[in-house]
Amino acid sequence: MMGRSDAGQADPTAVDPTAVDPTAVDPTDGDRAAGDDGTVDHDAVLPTTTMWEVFGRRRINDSLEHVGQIHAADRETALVLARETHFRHEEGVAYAVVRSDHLHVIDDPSLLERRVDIDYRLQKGYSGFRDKREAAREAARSRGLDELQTRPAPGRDVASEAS
Amino acid sequence: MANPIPTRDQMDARTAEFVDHIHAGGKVEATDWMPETYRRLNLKFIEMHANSEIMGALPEREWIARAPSLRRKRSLAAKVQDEVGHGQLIYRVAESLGKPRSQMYADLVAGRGRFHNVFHYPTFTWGDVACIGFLVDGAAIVTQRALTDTSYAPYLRVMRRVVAEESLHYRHGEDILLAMASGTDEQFAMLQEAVNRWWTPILHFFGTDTAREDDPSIFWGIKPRTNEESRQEWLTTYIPKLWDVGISLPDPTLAWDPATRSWTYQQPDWGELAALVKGEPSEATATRLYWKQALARNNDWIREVVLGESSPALAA
Repeated sequence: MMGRSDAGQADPTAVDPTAVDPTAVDPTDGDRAAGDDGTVDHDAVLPTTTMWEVFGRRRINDSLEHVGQIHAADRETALVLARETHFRHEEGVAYAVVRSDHLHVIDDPSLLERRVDIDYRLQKGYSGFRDKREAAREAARSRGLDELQTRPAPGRDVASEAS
Repeated sequence: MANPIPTRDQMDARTAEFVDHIHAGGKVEATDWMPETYRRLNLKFIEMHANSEIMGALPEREWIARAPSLRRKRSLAAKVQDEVGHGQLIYRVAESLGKPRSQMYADLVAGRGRFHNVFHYPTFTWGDVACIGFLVDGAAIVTQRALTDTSYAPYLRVMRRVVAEESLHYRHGEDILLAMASGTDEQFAMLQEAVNRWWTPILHFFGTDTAREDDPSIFWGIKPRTNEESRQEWLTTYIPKLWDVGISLPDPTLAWDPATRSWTYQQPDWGELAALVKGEPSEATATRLYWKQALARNNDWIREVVLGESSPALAA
């Protein structure tokens, strides 16, 4: 429900796009990124900028998801650049930026390995239902409890039609 | 107290705009302005849901040590852990509507918190675990799936995650039910006896047959469907599954009517439901809360060391 916030509340995404022109080229950039021999290294990260992680909410019922990274000197610039880089085409309803050095990442897969069998926590831990249902039906037949009552057609059509 | 379903004349312009927004399918964030009635009703509803997750874990917890195999013990323990986790997630949502979590927890443990009727009952046999895991959880899935389109966006996002885990619980419950239904005569009889006891509580679970226009929760976009619509969906999904395995229901009038495409059934005693959820805690609830308080007292020194504060359960 963007735009319905209380007027008094600071909206972190409300950045005036005119405040910083993301397309403006800092004339000193070339100098600072230039090597000793005068050539320009376009991949050089400027010492005054830092990396930001960008997160977006695609629809209102989604969680924030990581969509990419940008370089920016401060929060305000990061929000503008994140919008220009990742949200130009109505990609979502909200977005956020977090300084990369504020994320604490564990990327050693061995730490996420399963050391014991935890199938009972997973769907695949409960299998063979076709056979189990048939066994229960067979048990019902053997007890003479297989009377066929009138019942709705299979599927969930009834309830979804009713609502 | 304001009329929970205000007429157009009773709304100021801002409230009218808000109502139009949610009636058009719009969502509400925690930081948005909202009418006091919306905040109050949502808080009551979500706090009750969070309480129910906690109180729902307790009857099953009683069976972890008594489960018939190591695998059943582990899967039941995992499920109880999930349910308590759902409670914590949902308390966080309720907290965003203005009541501190510690207060909600203290109210619950002191016996002042409301929660679903089905978690007030005692459990006697492993058949109860089958009924809670398959029939009660099935009823919860029916109502919770509907909540994945609730108007309060933080609640909606949490419900998407909760429902994903509930589908695993459904498998867990069906697995137990099928094992008992295809087991010995004694196991089958144990299951049938438990189903007989759970029948009325499950009909109660969905609430009275309240018309769409008379239900404040529907007016404010908290839940999208009427109680009767949810109950009919549950009957449609679960009754044939019970019949399939030879289990009958203790209501001779229960029948699917192909003409009206709905179920007929004997209305349960609704006074019994009101007494259960509004009256003094049942004996089973009093016992479970006593144990929660005892555990809180026992473990409080850990909280003191780690958090520097006492358990909210002891503030009660």
